[in-house]
Amino acid sequence: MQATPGQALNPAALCQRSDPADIPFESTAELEDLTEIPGQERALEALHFATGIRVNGHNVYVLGRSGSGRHEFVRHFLTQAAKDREVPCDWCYVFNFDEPRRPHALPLPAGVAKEFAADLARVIADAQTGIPAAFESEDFQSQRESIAEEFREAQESAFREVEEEARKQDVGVIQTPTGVAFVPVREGEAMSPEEFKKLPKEEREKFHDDIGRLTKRLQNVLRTMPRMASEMRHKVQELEREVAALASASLVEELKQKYANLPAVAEHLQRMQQDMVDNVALFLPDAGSEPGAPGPRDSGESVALRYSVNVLVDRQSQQGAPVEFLDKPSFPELVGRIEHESEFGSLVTRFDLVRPGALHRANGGFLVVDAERLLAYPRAWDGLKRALKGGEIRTRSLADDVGVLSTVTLEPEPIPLSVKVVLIGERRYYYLLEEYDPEFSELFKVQADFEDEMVRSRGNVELLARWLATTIRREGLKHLNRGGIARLVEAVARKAGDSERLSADIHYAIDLVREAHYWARQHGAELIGEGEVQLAIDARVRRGSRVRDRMQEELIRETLLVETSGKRVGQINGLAVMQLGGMAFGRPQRITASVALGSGELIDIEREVKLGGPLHSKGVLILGGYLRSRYVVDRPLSLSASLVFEQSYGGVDGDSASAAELCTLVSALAETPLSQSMAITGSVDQHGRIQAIGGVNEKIEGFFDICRKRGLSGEQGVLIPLANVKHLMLRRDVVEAVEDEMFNVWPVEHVDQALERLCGRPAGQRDGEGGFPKGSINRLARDRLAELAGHRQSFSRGKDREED
Amino acid sequence: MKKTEAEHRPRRIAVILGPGSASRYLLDRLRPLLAANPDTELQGVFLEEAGVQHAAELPFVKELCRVTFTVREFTNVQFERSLALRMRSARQALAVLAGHTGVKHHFRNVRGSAVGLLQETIRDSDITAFEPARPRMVPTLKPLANARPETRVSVLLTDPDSAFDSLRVALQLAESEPRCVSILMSPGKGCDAKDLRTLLREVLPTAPAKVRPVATDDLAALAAALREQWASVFVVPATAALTEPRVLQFLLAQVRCPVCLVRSWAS
Repeated sequence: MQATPGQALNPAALCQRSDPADIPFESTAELEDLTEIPGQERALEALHFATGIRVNGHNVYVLGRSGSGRHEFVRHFLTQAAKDREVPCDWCYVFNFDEPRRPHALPLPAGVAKEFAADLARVIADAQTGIPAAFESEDFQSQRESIAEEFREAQESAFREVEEEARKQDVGVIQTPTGVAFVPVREGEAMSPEEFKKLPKEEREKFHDDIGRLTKRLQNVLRTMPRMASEMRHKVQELEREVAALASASLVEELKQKYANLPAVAEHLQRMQQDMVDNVALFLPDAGSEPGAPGPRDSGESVALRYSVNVLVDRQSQQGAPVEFLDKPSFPELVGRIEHESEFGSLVTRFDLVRPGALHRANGGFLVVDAERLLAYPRAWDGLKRALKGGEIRTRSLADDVGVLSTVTLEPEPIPLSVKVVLIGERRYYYLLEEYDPEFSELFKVQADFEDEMVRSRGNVELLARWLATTIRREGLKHLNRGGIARLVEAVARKAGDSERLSADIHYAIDLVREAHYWARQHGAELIGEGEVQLAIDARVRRGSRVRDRMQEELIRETLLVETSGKRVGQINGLAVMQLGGMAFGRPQRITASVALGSGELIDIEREVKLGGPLHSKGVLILGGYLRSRYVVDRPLSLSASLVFEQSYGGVDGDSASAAELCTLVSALAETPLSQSMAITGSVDQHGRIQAIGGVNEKIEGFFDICRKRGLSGEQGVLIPLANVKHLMLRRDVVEAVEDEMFNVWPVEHVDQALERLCGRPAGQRDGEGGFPKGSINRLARDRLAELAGHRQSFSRGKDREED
Repeated sequence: MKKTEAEHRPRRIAVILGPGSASRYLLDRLRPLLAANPDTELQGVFLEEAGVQHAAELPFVKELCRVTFTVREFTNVQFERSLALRMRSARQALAVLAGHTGVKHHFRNVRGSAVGLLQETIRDSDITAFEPARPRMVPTLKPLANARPETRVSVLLTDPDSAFDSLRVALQLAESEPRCVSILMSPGKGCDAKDLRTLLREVLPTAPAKVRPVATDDLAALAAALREQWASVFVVPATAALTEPRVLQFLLAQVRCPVCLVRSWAS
């Protein structure tokens, strides 16, 4: 679209309409499904690359604005990518017989873990019956008793020998309360002290010696007893182990054969069998415990837990590689957790209380995490990095990780990790991580950058329509007809703030369709047409425009002063954009300037009171450069000027008002009035060129709304940078007003063009000698500055004389 | 003549508790018997054996400790002190058992010879229980881990008159489980083994664990037979022949398990 600087734009330039006749289908119902989001070829290529390259560290960060459909896009892409991949193995934790603190991680082919767990549970249940039965058998009991009997015989025999020898010497053995003693006997009865005293001395001494010798001998005999008892116990233990081994072997062997091709499982079964033999007591009924009495779990339960399988990841019903979307990426949700149970006031844990995290489930596939949420959870980012760097999942509790846990816990064996992590987040998090975390770039080498916009081409319009058609079908909405699509495309372009681009915010588009579907249903329309889309847009604006309306009311009531007619020196209508939630609207802003003799100071009052941002200050400082280079190259800038946004009580930033500020400054210098029926937006450089700004549509509409409410005169309009013409997607009522010659939009590319339009007189071009034509605005401004410089010079001389 | 059920109920059960025996083990074994006869009177007799007293008074007699195998002085003072402790714990154990089973109980201590005391007690009681004082120097075999110890009652049957009550007592000790009862059959003069077998079928609801013939005049063979049964209680009819000092001496010295001497109600 051709636009001539300084000349009012044609209505056609104000909004690039979509012609329904150009839409190559009757309604979106005709369109095929499109699962890929249109306009995201760059991101798609990045994802293809990241999922194709099977190298650690090539994880993906998907950058893009909220609403760009990144989650749906990634979900669909990964689901497709994972479909044809191999299903990864199951993982489970089993008891570590060598080191109970470190549960053993066992990989099993996909879908086998639960079967293995069931097999083991069955074997243990059988063993809980079979082993006690074997121990209760008559054969075992008699063998056990016979070993004990052998020992008792030996013990008694040794004792009897001593007893026999004692009897030969008329000495008897008696049981004392804590042991045995030898006493002299007569006729089978222990001799009383009186009887003993009556014996001849030799006899008494003989008894004395005999008893001493017998005591010593019995002592020697007794000292051999512990060794004999130990041997006996050893024999009994061997017997018990043999019986236990026999009883367990028949049960476990079957499993060993079944899982013979899985060495890790076979080894575990071997260790388990050995452990069952070593801890056979666990299988025997607990005689002391009362059923239902409070206390630690009974031996049956303990056995079942000891030999159970904690199936961490079961892929029985899995098709392809897993794709895990983690909504709550906290540390335990990521790496798993170790739960505890309260047992008599203490917290205890076991290997079966190890719970999987998203990394376990996603292992061998893809894990999708929201970056912002991940960074918000304590230590979650560290946990993820550690897992990715180490290539393994180490499950531990968060408290343990922080080092504040004082209760008994476990250190489960790490599980090898092979996962592609896809972080989805806003650009600022990506750049912050790049800047501040050196490990980030090592681990996330692929960025999938989502476009904010796409070219408004016929092809992209069709892709957008197909994507909408797919969503419409999925959600059971009404389809759009040609008019509906055309209006929707305009709305999407307006969302992008560019007549040649479409916004990639697909949520905005589908939300409009959903809302238009509501109106279509209200009207009983079969398809969503232009009217329904317009209703949806209007309703949305109406819902969000309370603040805008109140502000406009205050302008109309002249509480906020903005003039839309007449002329003023040193006063101009600037335009600002206010963004409140999803609603952006333009606000006319009165900017004034005053000049006086000075030494070149340009006072930005906004900056002085700390209401101006750095970009605004920069814009104001540029004005000084323009004034010097344009008007007073050969003498000092001898003015003191101040600029202010009148009735502005909030912060001001951006340089989009610098053109307005320059115009009002020149007006004040040249003492030439500016039209108040116009507003201007645009930034300016030191040479007076007007540069593009943002929010041009909202700014024009903001001024138009005020003018319309006060009555359109036909002289009113807005001056915009020429570079912004392509961004125009103005409301229909604005375009209609322009068509009716009741409102104008003038593109300008130099401040002279703006001054001419605002002042209604020539700006004046610099001649060969550096002067300007008489009567031109620039001449007036230059003369004023020269006058000020003269005043300053004479003022300085007078001062010097006074000093002399 | 067949006796009524009430006539078969023991009126007094005496239990001999001595310094050398393990009172608690013996009392535990009697628990089912007392539970089955709550109207009975339990009498605890603590035996202070005269021979041990004499030994304590002899200056050169040393005691060989059962636990540490050390030889130490065995004085009268020391003996009296440990005897008092033993008596107190025996009395407490008896009171606890009586409390649990709800029977009346008495306790007394007697000084004398073991055989003499036994004979006297047998005369005064329907059932006399004692645990032989045996040289239990080293514990033999601990019970199988967590396994409930099984009661195995061996009962000696010599004639139908005494056998009836002995069998009933054996069955009560075995908590009415005939599979825990083994029979040592030794028919006396004028008694047919058949009669004893008939009696067995009458008294026991099912077959006993074992029935084994044994000669009571061969005490060594009887001891061997008992060992083979791994008897945890030995029930013996308190007939004249089986309460002779020689037999009582044998029961006191050679049998490894608690013994219940059952006086025939008729006698």
